[in-house]
Amino acid sequence: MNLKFKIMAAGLLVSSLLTSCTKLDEEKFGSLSPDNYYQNEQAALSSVVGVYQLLSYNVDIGDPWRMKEFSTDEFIVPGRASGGWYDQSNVDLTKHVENADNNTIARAWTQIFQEIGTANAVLESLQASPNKDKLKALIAETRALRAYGYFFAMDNWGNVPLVTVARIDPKDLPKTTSRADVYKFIETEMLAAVADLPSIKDVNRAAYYPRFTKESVYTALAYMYLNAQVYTGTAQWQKVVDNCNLVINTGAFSLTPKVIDNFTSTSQASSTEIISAFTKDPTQNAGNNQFILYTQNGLDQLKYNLPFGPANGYSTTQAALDKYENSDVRKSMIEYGPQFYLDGVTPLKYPNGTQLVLIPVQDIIAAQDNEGYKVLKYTPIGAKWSGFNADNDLILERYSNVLLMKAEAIFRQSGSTPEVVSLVNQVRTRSGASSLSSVTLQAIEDERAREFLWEGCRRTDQIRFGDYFTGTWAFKTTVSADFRKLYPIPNQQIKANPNLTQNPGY
Amino acid sequence: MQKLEDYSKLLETVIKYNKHFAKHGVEAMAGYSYQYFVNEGDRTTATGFLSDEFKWYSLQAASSVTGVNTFKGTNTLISFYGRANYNYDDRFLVTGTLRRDGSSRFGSGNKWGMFPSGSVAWRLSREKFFDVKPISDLKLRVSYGVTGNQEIGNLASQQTLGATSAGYIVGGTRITTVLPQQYANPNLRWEQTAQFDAGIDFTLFDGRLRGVVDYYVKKTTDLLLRIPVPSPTAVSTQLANVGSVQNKGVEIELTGKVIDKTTFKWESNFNISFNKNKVLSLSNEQFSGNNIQLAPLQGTVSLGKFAQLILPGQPLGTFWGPRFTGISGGKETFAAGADTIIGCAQPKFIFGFGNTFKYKQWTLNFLFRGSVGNDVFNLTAANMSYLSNLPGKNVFKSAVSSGLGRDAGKTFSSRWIEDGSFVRLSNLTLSYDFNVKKTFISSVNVFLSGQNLLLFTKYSGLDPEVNAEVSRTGVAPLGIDYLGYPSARTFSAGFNMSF
Repeated sequence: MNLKFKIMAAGLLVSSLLTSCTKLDEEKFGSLSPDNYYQNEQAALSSVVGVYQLLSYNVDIGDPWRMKEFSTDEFIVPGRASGGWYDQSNVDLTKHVENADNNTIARAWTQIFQEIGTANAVLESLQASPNKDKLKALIAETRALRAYGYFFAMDNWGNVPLVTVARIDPKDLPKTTSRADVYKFIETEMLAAVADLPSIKDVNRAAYYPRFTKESVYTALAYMYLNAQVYTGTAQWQKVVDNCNLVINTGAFSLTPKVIDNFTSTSQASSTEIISAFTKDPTQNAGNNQFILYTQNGLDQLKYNLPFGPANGYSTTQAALDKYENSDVRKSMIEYGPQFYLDGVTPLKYPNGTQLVLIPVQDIIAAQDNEGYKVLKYTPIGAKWSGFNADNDLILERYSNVLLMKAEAIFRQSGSTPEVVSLVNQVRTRSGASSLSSVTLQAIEDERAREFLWEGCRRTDQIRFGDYFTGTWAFKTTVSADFRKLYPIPNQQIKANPNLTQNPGY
Repeated sequence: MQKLEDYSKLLETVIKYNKHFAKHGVEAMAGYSYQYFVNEGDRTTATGFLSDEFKWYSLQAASSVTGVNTFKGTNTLISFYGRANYNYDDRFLVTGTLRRDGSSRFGSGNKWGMFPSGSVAWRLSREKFFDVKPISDLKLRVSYGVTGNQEIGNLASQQTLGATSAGYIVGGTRITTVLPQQYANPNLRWEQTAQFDAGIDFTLFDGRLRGVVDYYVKKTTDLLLRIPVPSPTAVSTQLANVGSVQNKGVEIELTGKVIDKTTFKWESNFNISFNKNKVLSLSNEQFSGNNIQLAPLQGTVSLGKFAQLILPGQPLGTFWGPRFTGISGGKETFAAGADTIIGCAQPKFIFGFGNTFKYKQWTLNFLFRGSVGNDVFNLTAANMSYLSNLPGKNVFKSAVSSGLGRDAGKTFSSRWIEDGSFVRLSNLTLSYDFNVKKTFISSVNVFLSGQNLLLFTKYSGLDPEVNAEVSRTGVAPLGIDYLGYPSARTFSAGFNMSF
C-alpha cells in the first residue's frame, strides 16, 4: 500500500512538472532575425553597408588587391634581411610560378566570395521583406555590389561557381561556370541594377557619398567591356565608349586639380573625380586604411610625424618609376633615392647618421632596409590616425579612368584620332606631363600605368596589352605561359567542393 | 575593463525508495532538475588617463573610450531521471538508469534526448561452487550506457543577424553594420555517446596480485562539429551533428606486492592501454562530407594548407600531405601523385610502470610512462630548416648542409613527420619518515622529488608530447609540435608535518 502510494505521488509530481516546467525556448539578447529586421530603408542600409565593407577588400591592402599587384611590374614585397615579410606565396606570384596551394590566392578567394555570399544573404532577406517595394534602390545597390564581387572573381579566376542563393544545398554543390557565362551574368545584373539606382545628378552628393550611383555601374561596365576580348573572345569597344559617355554626359564629374586630391583624406568627400569609393574612419571605428603602415620605411615615422613606425613592406620597381617624365607631378608620389624631411632639404637619417637612400629591390628574399621604392597615394598628410590606422577612403573608380578607357576604346576602333589625343592629354596635362601630338597603344598602356599605379588595374591591363606574358622585369625573368592569365582555383576550395574544375595549366 | 558574470538557478526534486529483505536490496530514486544559466558581461577599452589614480572605477577620466562591448546569454537544462539498484547478497549487482534531458540549445523539435544505461556485475568468488584456491576475489562486469553532450554555445540552431564591431560612414554619418552571423539549423540535436564495457576484477594470492582488465567499445554519434558552409556564403562555418567516431580498446592494470616483509616492501604497478580510433562517417542529412581539413600550417611553411584530414575509415589525427623522397638539385622531391596519408598521431598503445620500495623508514618510488607508435609533425623544424630564413631568422645547423638551395620554398611533407614514441621517467621521489610515535606530532616526512628526469625518444624536437593549438578552435589537434615549450624538468625538496 505504502509503495503504491509513493508511486502515485511520484507520478502526480512528474506529470505536473511535465506541463509547467518543460519550457526550453531560447532567449535572444542582441541578436536580430532577418525575418523581421528589414522594415525600412535605414535597417536595410545597415546591412548593405556591410557588403560595401567586404567589397572594399578588393582595393585595400589585403590579399584580393595585392594578389593582382604581385604579378605585375609595379609591385614587389621582398623578404627583409632583418627577418620580416618573407612569404613564399608572394615570391611565387612575383615570379609567375604560383600554384593551386598559393595561400595569398586562397585567402583572396575566401574574401572575394565572402562578399558575394553576404550580398546573396542580404539580397535574399531584402527581397523577402514585406516592404520590399520601398527598398528597390537598396536591392539594386546590393545586386550591383554582388555583380562587382563576381567581376573581381571572374577577372582573377575566370571560371568560378555562380551562386545567387544565400544557402547552398550541401548535397548539391555548385559547379564551375565558364568565364563567358559569368561575364554575361555580371552584365545582366549590372544593367538591371542601373535601372533602380539613382544618378549622381539626383542625389545630394555629400550626403550620398560614397554609395553606388548609376554612373558607378556604367564605369564598372565600361571597364568590363574594355577587357571583353580577354574575357569572352569578343571585343566590345563601342560599348566601352557608350558607357563612358553615359558618365561624361552627366557633366557631374571632372578631373581634380591634382591626382593626390582624390587620396588625401581631407579632400576625398568633395572630389569631383571620385565615382565610387569606400569610406574609412578608424577614429569612429568604421574601417581603416593601412597603406602607410604596410608601405613606408620605418624612418618615415620621423618624416611624417606618425604615431607608429611603418613596416617597410610594399615597394615598387625601377620599371614603374622610369615611366614618368621628371615634370610629371605623379612621379612625386613615388619615393626613391635620397630621402629628406617634408621641408625637402633636411636629410632623413638613421640613428647612426647615414641618410636613407632608397634603391630598387636587390634581393627578393633578404632585402636591406633601404631597398624598394615607395608609392604614396594615400598620403599621411592631413590624415587622422587611430594607432596605425588612417582615415583615407579607398578609391574604386575615378573619372580619369573613364577618360582613358574611352581613349583606348576609340583608338582600338579608329587609331589615334584627335579625340583620343585630347582625352589622353587631359589626364597628362593635369599632372604636368607634356602634351602628346599623337598616341600609340603603348602610350595608352603606359599612361594607364602612370595614372593608376597601385590602384589594382595593372594586372588586368598587362594581360589585355599582352606584356603580362611577353614582358620581363625585376624578378620576373622569363616569359609566362598563356594559362597564367587565370589564377588557379585554390586547392582548399576544390577539396571543399569537388565539383569545381581547376583552371587549365595548374 | 572587463566584467563577466555567470550565475544559475537550480531546482532539484528527488524521491527515493529503499527496501531490504532477506538477501535482497532495492534502492530506487526518481528526480527532476531545472537549471537556468545566465552569463553576461561587458568589456570597455579606454585609454589616455591623466593620472594613475584613475582606474576601472573612473573610466570617465579617459581621453578616449575606443571599444565598448556588452553581452548576455542564457540557456536552460531540464532533466527527468530515475535510477534503480538491485543487490542480491553482494553476489549480483544490477543498476539501471534512465534520463530524459532537455536543452534549450538545440533545434525546436530536437531539444529532448533519452539516455538509458545499465550494468550487471557478478561476484563469482562469492558463489559456493567457486572454490579456486589462489583466486581470492573475482568479479565479472558488463555495462552499457548512453550519455549526451550539449556543450555548445547558445542560439546555435537559430538564424541570427548581429551588429559587427565596425561601422561604415555614409555622407559623414556613421551607420552601424548589421550582417548575418549564423544560419539556422533546426536539426541541431544532442551528441550521443554509447559505451559498452566488459571487465574482470580479480585478486590473487591473498591480495598479492590485483588486476583489472577492461574491453570497451565507445561510439559517438551525431558529433557536434563546426563544419564549413559551402562557399560562397555570408557565414563560413555552421554547427551541425555530423558523423560518428568509434573508439575500441583494451585496458589492463596489474598491481603486485612483489615483496611484503616488515622491513622491506616492493610494490609494482603496470598499466597498458590499446585504443583504436576510427572516424566512421562525416555525413548527415544536410551535409555529405568526405573529409574535414584540420590543423592549418603555421609560420611560413606551406601556408594555407592543412596538416591533417579527418577521413571516414581513418583515425583522428591522420596526417595528409605529399610524401618526401629526397633532395636533389637544391630542391626537395616528392613522390608523384596527389597528397596521401603520411602518418597518424594516435599511438598504438600507451603504458605506465610504477614502483614503490620501502625499507624501514625510507620510501623510494618512481614512475615510467610511455607511448608507442604515434607520429608527431615537427612544424618547428619545418620552419627552421630552410635557408630563406637567413639572415634575419635562425635556421638549424642541419639546414646549411641539407643541400637545399636558398630559394627552396618551405613545404609541408612527410619529411617533417617523425616517430613520436617515447618513454619518460616522469617522477622519482625519495622520502624518509621520522619516527614520531609518543609525541604530539602525528607524522614528519622529508622528501626529494624530481619530475620529468629522463626522456628516451628518437624524436628530434624538444619534446614529443606536445599539442600546439594551431587550429584556434580551443581544441588542439593531436601531434603537432610548433614552438611548444618542452615539459619542464623540476626538482623539489621539502617536508610534511601533520599534527
